[in-house]
Amino acid sequence: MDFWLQQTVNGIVLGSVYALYASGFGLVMASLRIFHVAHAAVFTWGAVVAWDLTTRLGWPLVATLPVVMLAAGLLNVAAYFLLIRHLLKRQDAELAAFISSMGGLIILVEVAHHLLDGAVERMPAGVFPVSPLELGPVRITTLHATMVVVSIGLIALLAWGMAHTQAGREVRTVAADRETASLLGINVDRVSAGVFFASGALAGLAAAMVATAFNVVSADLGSGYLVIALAAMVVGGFGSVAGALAGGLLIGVASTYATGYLDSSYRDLVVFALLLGFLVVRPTGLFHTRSELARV
Amino acid sequence: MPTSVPALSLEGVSVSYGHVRAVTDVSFTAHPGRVVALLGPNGAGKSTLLRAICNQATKVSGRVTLFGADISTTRTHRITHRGVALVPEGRRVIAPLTVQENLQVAAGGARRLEPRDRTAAIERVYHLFPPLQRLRDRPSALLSGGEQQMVAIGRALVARPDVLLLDEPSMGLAPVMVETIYGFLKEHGATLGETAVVLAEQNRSALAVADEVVVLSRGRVVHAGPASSLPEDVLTEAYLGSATPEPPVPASSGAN
Repeated sequence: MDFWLQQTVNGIVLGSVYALYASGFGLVMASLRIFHVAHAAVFTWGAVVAWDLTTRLGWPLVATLPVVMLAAGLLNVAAYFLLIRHLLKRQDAELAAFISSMGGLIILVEVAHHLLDGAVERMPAGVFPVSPLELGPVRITTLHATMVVVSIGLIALLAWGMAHTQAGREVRTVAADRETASLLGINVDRVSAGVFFASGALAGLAAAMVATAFNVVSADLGSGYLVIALAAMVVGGFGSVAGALAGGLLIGVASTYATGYLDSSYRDLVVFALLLGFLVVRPTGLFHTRSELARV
Repeated sequence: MPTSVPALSLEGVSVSYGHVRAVTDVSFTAHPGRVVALLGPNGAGKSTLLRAICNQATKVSGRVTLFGADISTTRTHRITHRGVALVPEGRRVIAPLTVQENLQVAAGGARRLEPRDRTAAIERVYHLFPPLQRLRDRPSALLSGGEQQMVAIGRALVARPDVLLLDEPSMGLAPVMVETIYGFLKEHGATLGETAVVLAEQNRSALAVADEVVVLSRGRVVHAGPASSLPEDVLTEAYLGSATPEPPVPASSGAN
C-alpha cells in the first residue's frame, strides 16, 4: 500500500510536468489546427537556457525561471512568424505548417547539439533547495512538491483565463474561425503570437523543472517528451486545457506504475498502449469532443 | 439625392479568384442613414463585393473609401475598428461560444467603445432582440438559424458601426424569421441612426427597406438608382440572364 501511494505521488509529479508541456502544445494545436512539432525544440532550448544561466552565471533556479519562460516564449513567437504564419492561407496549411515546423525542429535541435557538443549535461547542484517532506508514508521533495503546485496552478490559471477573460474569448474565436475573428476586430496575428508565446513559456518552464528534477540537459530532451505530450493530449482530449492536465497526470501515473511494478523498459509500452486504447475506445479523449477543440 | 460625404464609396472595384474575375469595375456609394440594396442572382458577386470592402477578397483594381479615407489595403480588423461591420453570409457565429460571449468578443473588438460602455452596448442588443435574453448562456451552435442571425446582427450592432454590411440576412431562414429580421430593419431604422447600410440579397425583400438599389449581374453593375423607381425588366434580366449566356470573364481581360 505504501509503495502504491509512493508510486502514485511520483506519477503525479511526473504527470504534472507532462501536463504543462502538453497544455502548451495543445493550445497551439487547438487555436491554429497545426501540429507544431518545433514545440519540442522550444522545450529543449528552455532546458539549455536554464542550464546556461545556472551553470555559467550561477543563478538560482527561481531567478532563471522568468528568464527561461520569456526566452522560450519569444523563441516560439519567432517560430510562428518564420515557420507558420505565411503558410496559413494555403489550402494545405496544416500539412505545410507541419513540414515547416519539422524543419524548425531539426535546425533548432542541431544547433543545440553543437552548443552542447553532443553531451548530456547536468544541472549544477544546489540550484534549488531540495529537502525531503514526509507526508505520512509518502516522501516527496520540496522540488517535486513545487513542480506539482506550479504546474497545476498555471494550468488552472490558463483554463480560467480561457473561459473568463476577453483574451481567452479572443483565442477561442480565432480557434473557431479566423476570418470571422478579424471581422470582429480581432488582430488574428497578435492573438496567434500570444498563443505561441504562452505555449513556449509553458514549455520553457516545464523544461527547466524537468532538467532540474531529473538532472539532465540534452539536445534531444524535448523530442523525447513530444510523444508523451501527444499521448497526454489524446488521452485528455485535443485542445482542452483541463484534458491536458488529466491526460498528463494519467500518463505520468501509468508510466510510473509501469516502472515501479514491471520494469522501466515497459514505460513507453504502457504510454503507447494508453494512446492506442484511447484512440480506439474514446478518440475524443476524457474531456470530450471536437467542439471542445475550439474551447481550448 | 444626399449631398453629404459618402460613408462608403467604391470606385471601379474589380475582384478575382485565381484566374476568374468575380467582380468587374463596380462603383457605388452609401450615405449615412441610407440603405443600399445590392440585388442580383446567386453568383452575381454580391458577397465577394462585401468581402472586398472588408479586405477579405483580393482586389485587383479600384478603391474603397470610408468617409473619404482610402481603406483599400487596410487590414480587416482595422477596417472593423474604423467603423465597418459585416454580417457575413451564413451567419458565422462562433459556435462554441455562448450568445453572451459572442457579443462580448464583438464589444471587445470595437475600439470605439470604451471598456466601461461595453456592458451597456451588449444590453442594448438584448433590448433590440428580446428572444436572445433567455439564450445568453447557450452555446451559439445550439441556436436556430433565425436566432443565430439575431446574434450575428447584434454582434455587428454592438460596435455601433458607421457602415453595416448585411450579406443575405434572410438566407436559409423560415419566412416568419425573415419577416422578423426585416421587421427589425424597418422598425429600428432610427436606432441605426446615421449608419449606412448595404444589404445584399438574392430576393426582392430588400426593396422594402432600401432607399437605393444596385443590381449586379455576372459581377457587373447593370442598374443603379432609387429603389422606388427600379424598372421591372432590369431585375428580370438580372435574375434570368440574357438569351445567350456569357462565359466567366478571365481576369486578364481587364476591368472594363
